[in-house]
Amino acid sequence: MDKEKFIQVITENKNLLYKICNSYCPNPSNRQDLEQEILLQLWKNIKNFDGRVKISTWIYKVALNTAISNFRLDCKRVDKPSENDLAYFSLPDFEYDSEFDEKLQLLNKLINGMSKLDKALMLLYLDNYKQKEIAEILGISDSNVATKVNRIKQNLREKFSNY
Amino acid sequence: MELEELKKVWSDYDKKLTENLKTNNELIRKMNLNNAKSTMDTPKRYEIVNVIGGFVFLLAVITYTIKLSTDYRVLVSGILTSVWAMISLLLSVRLLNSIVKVDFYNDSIIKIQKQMIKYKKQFFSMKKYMLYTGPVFVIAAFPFLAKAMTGLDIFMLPVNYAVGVAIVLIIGYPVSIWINKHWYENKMIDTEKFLEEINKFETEQ
Repeated sequence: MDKEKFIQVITENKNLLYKICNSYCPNPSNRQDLEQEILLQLWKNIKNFDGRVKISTWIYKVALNTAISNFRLDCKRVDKPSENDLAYFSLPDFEYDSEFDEKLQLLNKLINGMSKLDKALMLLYLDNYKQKEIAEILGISDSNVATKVNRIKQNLREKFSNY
Repeated sequence: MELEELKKVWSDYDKKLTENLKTNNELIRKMNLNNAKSTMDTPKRYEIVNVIGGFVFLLAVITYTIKLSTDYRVLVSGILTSVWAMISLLLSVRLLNSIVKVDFYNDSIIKIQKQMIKYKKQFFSMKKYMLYTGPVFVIAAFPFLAKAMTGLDIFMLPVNYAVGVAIVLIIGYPVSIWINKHWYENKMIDTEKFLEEINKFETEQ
């Protein structure tokens, strides 16, 4: 695959890449490292993509594995953004209505508070992956996925009962 | 809020991203994609270098041990060095074997993360072995290495050797213990915790 085709694939899947990077590395000044690492992994291995699953599913798997394994990247560290910090994915301020904004902040807060693996499950669930697909991507049983989703629901009720 | 409501928020967020999120294509074009080293590749490269280097070192040590075997003291030193080099090489081969088995792109996330943990645990154990045996290795190998590399017979200078041994023991062990405690032990604890987390995640019913 040439670079232009690769950029096209990335552009088509920019939302999921941004959501994963943002969930695993909420600090924008450090997020570029994770974005770069994920792009490198995708580039190096896209030749191994055999079409058995959707390209978005494959990208999800590679990106999640990279984000979970990022033993060199310190996403908790807060650096001041420098002029050289260029993001691969940038989100200009766009207008939310206040209710949506509040709910999105709550959701991000919930995701940020989760463990790395729960986060992966939550992202897949929110992006409408079926229970069976989530089980396959994560490598756990269907019933295990169902149990975890129920647990997340229960946590939500406890944490956000006021909303 | 219920989970279904959050899904709706997420879906609206996705729509907003589709409309507003920009991919910096120029930055991707400028990336040296073919030659860039990724974090995932580093351990593999590191272990390959270790295995090749370890093998060459072991070969050199064995060759010189045989060559210098007329002096039994150097022979003993050479054998100890060979044993140390052999164990280090075997540990490097084991590490390389662990890392090449990881299929980042086809296996499930849990399987990959478990393999990564196995590699990390072996890596930290090897570092511990190297740190704790390092001072003894320096003491045992010095007579042989000095003779093989410079022709110096350290047994002709017993006082100097004894002082060297004392310095290595007095400084080497506290430094080794400190490095292991501050660099590797904490990482090992984090790795163990993550393994526990994975096991719990995998078995929760």
